[in-house]
Amino acid sequence: MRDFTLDLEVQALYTECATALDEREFERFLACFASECAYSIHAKENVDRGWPIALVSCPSRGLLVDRVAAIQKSSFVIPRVQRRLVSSVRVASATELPLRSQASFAVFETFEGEATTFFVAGRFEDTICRERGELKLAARKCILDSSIVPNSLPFPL
Amino acid sequence: MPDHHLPQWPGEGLTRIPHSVYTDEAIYEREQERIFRGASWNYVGLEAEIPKRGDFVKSFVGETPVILTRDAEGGVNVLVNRCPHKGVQFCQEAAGNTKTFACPYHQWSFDLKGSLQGLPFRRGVGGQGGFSPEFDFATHGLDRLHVTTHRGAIFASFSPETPPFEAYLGASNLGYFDRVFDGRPLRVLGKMKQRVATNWKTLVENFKDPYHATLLHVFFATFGIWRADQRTEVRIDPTGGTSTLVQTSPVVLEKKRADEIEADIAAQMKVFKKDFMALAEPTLLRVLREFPEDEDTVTMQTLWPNCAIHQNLNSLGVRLALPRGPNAIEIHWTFFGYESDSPEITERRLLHANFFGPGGLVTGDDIEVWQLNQRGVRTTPSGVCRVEAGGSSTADADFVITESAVRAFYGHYRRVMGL
Ligand SMILES: [Fe+2]
Repeated sequence: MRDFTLDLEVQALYTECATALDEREFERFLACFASECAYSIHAKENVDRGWPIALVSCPSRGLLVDRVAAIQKSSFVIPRVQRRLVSSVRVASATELPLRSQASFAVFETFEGEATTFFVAGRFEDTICRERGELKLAARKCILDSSIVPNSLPFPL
Repeated sequence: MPDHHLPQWPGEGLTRIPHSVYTDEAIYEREQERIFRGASWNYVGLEAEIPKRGDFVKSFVGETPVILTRDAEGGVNVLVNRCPHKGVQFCQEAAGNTKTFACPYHQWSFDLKGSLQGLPFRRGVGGQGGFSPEFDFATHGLDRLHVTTHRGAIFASFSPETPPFEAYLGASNLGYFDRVFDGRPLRVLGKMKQRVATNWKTLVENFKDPYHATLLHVFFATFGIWRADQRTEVRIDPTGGTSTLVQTSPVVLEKKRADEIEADIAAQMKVFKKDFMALAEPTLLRVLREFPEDEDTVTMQTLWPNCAIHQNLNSLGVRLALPRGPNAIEIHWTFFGYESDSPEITERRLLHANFFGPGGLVTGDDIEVWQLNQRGVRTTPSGVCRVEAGGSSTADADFVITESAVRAFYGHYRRVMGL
């Protein structure tokens, strides 16, 4: 029988990353990533057509740190609650590190005074490594199911 | 339609914009008829999106879905995505390569120029039914728009009376257009699309408004990309519909100048962040100079009616504000470079796209404000906007705190709309 220890560890990393963003605790979000990492969000059309542009492109940890700083210090964002559901985790190689893993995500949004609406869905394509004993995201690609985004994407997914 | 259905423009003239132009259904319908289906050159795409014969890509002229095709002779066609038989929107793929389009309903087929090529059972079955011998293929093709291409950009119009593109832009604005579209073959880097609960004109105004950029965009202000103290030009075409904002500045703030001006700006800008003056990755703002005749210049050009072109840092892009009723738009962004780009400058273009689009570190601010703007005007349709920065001028300006290009836009808008 397959040993699911590593799968559970990956699941715990995903939960931490999603709830850190839901709770707007960006230090916890950054702590989910390795010291060398990449993060990006892609619309369907660009993936389908092989176009390189990304909705969010942070090819280094510094750029991810700067995006988080910009969100906190310089961006104007209408207040909202976001709720991330991460599911159907698929760890491709459960024995060797770095490992490849995918998961499905859905995000809901709630604006002040309004009912909750569905925001975006898609899949994560991740590379995961181990640093000081803990699993960390070395690379995360968020690939949206849609080519069009409702309103804006002020926060990471 | 008699004019009494339409709201009246306030007596003060162009320093006032009635809220109803953002919310009124009758105004919206007249915009579709007179602006988007009128004598306007509507940007629809880049030739680089359909380089090969048979290539097609979907786009929009206002609300109308269209297909851009490269025909067998290499020509560019803009066809309405609607079968003339029953009105079926027959093309479902975003892009592809084909010789013909077939409607799934009754299999009418059309070539890349939109001509009707064939229909099954034309003579009926067993000598019964079918179409009369007089059935005219020539009058049953797809609706075809007038097309003009300029240095790789494709524009379409429903009206045969649209002036030639060069005259449509006016001399000074053609110069800014040709600065980016300089004749080098273009390379598409990708698209961003978003749906926003606002009116299409709110975007156009926003792109013509240098005043807000110094106040709302804390990131750009903090890092000296668009600040109140920088050299600014507003260049408006003779009609007022098209204009360009130009800012020239050292892209990365020089410390000695910063000290002098910081106090002044910080005093007026509550949002200016002195504590956010350092980046973990300073290379984010590194620009490869590519327009050698210029200093570090940022341009934002808006083309009548609903298109804008940005050249900012190393990002080049076209955006369209497509109307979806008075209270909604789709924004379609196309990012591009040149075929001759080095890997280094392509890397810059991809990195600098972080400032734009739905996740843009700078345009993200605008998107939020556009929604709040629409919420305000919707709840007070009898109200007016007051547009008095820079007085009542609709002329060119060489300073930041002016809304002259917005007033000039509404001067043209009123003439076209008969308001
Ligand atoms: Fe802006």
